[in-house]
Amino acid sequence: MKALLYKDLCVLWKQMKFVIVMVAVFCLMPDTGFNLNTFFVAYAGLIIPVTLFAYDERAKWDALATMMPYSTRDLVLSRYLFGWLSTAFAVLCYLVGQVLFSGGHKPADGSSLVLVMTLAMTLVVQAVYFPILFRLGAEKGRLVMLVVIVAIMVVVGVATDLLRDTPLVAPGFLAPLVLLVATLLCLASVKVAEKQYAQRVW
Amino acid sequence: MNAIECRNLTKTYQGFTLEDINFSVPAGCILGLVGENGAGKSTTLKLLMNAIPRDGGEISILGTDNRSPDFLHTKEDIGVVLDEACFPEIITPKELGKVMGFTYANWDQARYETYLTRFRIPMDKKFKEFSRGMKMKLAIAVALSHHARLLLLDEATSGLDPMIRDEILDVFNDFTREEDHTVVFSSHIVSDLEKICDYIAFLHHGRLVLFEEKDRLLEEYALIKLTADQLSELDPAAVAGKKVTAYGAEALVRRNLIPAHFTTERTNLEDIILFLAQEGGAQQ
Repeated sequence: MKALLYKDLCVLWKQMKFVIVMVAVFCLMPDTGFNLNTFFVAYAGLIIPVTLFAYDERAKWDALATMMPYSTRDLVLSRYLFGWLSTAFAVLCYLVGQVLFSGGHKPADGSSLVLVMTLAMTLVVQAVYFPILFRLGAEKGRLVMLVVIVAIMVVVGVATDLLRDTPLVAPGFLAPLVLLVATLLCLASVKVAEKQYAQRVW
Repeated sequence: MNAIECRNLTKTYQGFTLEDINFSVPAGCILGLVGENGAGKSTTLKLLMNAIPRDGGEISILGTDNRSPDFLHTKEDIGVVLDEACFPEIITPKELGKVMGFTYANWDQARYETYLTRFRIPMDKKFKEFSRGMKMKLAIAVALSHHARLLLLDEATSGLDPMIRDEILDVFNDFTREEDHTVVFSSHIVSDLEKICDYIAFLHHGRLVLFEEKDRLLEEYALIKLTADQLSELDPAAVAGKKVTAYGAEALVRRNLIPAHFTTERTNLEDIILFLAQEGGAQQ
């Protein structure tokens, strides 16, 4: 696991320095109500791990990795960990930005809920999308990403419509609930991805 | 002790079947796996490492069933070089050494650096900037730097110039000086295999057509040039393969089944494989 994370870190830092700096800068920016910084939380959580999938695929790293003493669990979990760490990095930048640059102003209304919802959505997309990437690879899987995001947005839209004006959408209830669901989905997703990875033909 | 035992191995893809493969490789030997492109060499190596699911059969590597959980530990003793080096293109040999240090419990950084020096590979150059020869040498340096007892090489010398190939073959030869060190070397460059292998396995259209000691093969078979009429007089069991043209015939024959008055020529592995492949193709 340590080897895989170190390898990903080397690749990420050299190939994506600009993206990391951009994510940090935009997440650190004060929340102006346009949700630009929360967009970059999702961007970091999805684009960084997906790009790592693509780099590995281009190098044919997985064909070699399956022959080395890495367990399927380590190969899969390391990629999820990177996704979660990228998301956490962006959230941390966002929170630091709110503290440092708000100038004592109150954040825009509902910005905390937007952040939690974005975080949950990012985790859900990772949970749905990563097993597909492990099965199909980044090249074929990239096309599926758009479909996954749109499908999740539709589900969220319909659910919001149905639950409107019910106590379920109260921020104090909704935020922990969606985070809990997203976390459970992620854990289940790791198991599914392990099976998909084992079935993939290199 | 056998380093590899493979029994009734079967794998089917759409349009290709690796069929009922059986062989054993004694520890301390070099096995050359030869066959045309698409014969099933890479698939066999992937199956040996349990990198792809199989449809049937049993494989034991260094005494461990390759589907058992213990095989993860056995992989520490196996060095693998694929037809491409497969390392991230941005990584340097220095960083790769660190990755491998975290990967293999027996990683020997000093040995790795010795190989890099021997192969004239700079520590701080990005992998993508290396020539194919340097990339393959780097992969070989990695495979040899964790005290492996078994090397699996999939077309490790393909696309390299003869001088680099020769240098690499020397390294493999050195590796087998330790009596429990084994090499499985897949290649379609038969001359490379003839130089270093003890055993030859010939895969043809997914079937193991031949598995034999190299020296015995060279002893058993001979080339013979004769007329088409003379060829028809030979015992069919003596003829392993033949080429008939308007100017005469050439045949690969079993030396001990040929009448003494025929003059035979010493053959080489490449001719044996080519004749057997033609014969195998004709039979299908």
